[in-house]
Amino acid sequence: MSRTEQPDSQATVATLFAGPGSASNSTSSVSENVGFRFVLDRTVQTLSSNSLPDSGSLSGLLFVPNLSPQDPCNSIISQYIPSNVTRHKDVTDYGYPIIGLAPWVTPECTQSFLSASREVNAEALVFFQPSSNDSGIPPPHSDQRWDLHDGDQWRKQNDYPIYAIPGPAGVTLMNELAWFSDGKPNQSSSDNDTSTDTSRKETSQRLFTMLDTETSSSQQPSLWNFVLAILGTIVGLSLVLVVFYRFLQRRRRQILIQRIEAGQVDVERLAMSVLRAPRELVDKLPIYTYTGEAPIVVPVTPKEEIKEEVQTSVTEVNGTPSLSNSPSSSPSSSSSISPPNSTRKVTGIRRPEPAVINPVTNEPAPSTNQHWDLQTSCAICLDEFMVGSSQLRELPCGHVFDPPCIDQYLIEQSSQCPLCKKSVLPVGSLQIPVTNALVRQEHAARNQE
Amino acid sequence: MGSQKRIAKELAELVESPPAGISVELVDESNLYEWKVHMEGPEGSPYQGGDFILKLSLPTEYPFKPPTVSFATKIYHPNVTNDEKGSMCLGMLRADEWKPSSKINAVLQFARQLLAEPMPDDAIEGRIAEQYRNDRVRYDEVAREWTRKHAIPK
Repeated sequence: MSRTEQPDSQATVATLFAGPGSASNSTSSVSENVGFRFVLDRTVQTLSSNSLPDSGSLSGLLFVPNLSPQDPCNSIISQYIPSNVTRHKDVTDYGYPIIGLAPWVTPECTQSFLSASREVNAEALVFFQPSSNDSGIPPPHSDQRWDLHDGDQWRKQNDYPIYAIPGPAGVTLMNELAWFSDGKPNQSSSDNDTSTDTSRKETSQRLFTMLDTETSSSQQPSLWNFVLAILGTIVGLSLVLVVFYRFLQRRRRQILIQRIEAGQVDVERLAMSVLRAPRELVDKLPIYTYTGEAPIVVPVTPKEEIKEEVQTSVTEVNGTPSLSNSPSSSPSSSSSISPPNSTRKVTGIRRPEPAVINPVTNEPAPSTNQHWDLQTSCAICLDEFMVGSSQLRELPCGHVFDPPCIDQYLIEQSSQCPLCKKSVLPVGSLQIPVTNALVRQEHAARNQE
Repeated sequence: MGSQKRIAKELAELVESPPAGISVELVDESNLYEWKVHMEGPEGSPYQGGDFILKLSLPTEYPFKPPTVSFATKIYHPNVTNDEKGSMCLGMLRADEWKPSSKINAVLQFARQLLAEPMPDDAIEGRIAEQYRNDRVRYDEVAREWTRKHAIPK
């Protein structure tokens, strides 16, 4: 606590309270020439921190709240409060905040001081227990000594911070407050102040109090805030990264889908699994009637053209017309007419193509592949194709098979041709879900190449 | 079942016109899926003169699934496991390599060709493969010895 002289000829005395955690002797706002300095280092206990400013520090002129004259406490506390102590009226004129100082004697009197401080809008209220000789930090706010038998309502009702200081310090301050008031100065002054006696008489002097509440209770939240801030940053960054990564993965999947659809990726090799052909797709593969020679094999539909074509081929093959209704398994080819069921052995040697590729209809040949005249039997069941009666399923690669054999194979085993392993799936058909794993495999596969 | 028809057909063809050095028969006349194959060691190979017995098993899904071939006779060869199973490592018999259009005839001929020309790069017995590559004389000796011991009827 210190006395100081302010430039406006009004001397102010500062009291410095330092909360636990920081000594404030050197606090710059207290000028060095103060006449009285009283520091409580780490011995200020916070009883309530309502409306504590964010800065954590309070300052103001110290005063003792007035109780109403009828209050029975007046007689109880009179022994702890000098008659000429600094009162509310002594500190209101300076434009500083005010901080109350009061003895904690009985619950009733404490309530009276609390309400008195409330009425005058004190910035804070400081209690001391005059009966206590302990100069250490008062007990924490949860101690039963601070129990006012109202279920701690008092902490909530009073919208200002409340502190407790050690009893001896409170008594000292109380005496100093008697000095620095407009009342009659107490002549028994403390011996270290004699040099400022004159200034004290000429100017009004008050105790100026600073409460620095960088206490452990305020350090705790700040540490937590720090941790929370770090955690929040980490979580936030993670979220951003996750969102970004998701976006990236989606983009990569889309690119891969585009590349698959463009036929740039061998899906089957990539997925390392055997793809099967869907039944609908297999059903759409063309079926022809086997006639023994490639160009003569004609599509089952349309029928009119078949007849013309078959007739052409019939004349071509020496004309031994034995037209018969083929016992076709395919309903769509019910009336297909077979070419001469000649005894001619189909040799599997590629013959020169007879010039009968749809000369009548001027249509492109039904099949332009070179496997026709090489295949005389189904590679799956090894059954010979019967000229004129066998229905053949032709795959996109041009290989032909018995429809029951190849259909079962394509649907149940693999979508690849049993002879050349070319897939019957259309280029770019997505038979497998494009997953992130697939994207990675594709990437790895490309890196290897 | 389509597979039986095809197997019967292949069996008939193989019995009727067997490929060189190969003869086939059913282990049990009522079971088309288990075959017993006699294979003569190819001339010019250390297996020459041996009569190797192979077991050929066909899955019911044949020809969609490949057959399996194993040596019942012990043989010293990089591509045949050196144990009681005598499993044979044939590329064309791997599930992903197999084509239904492949025939047993081709499988057996391929197996016999493997006796004449082992494929050390696809070896199942790495030690024998190494010997085959680096010490052909010793390999020939051992193979011939094994052939005499296990594959030539006394």
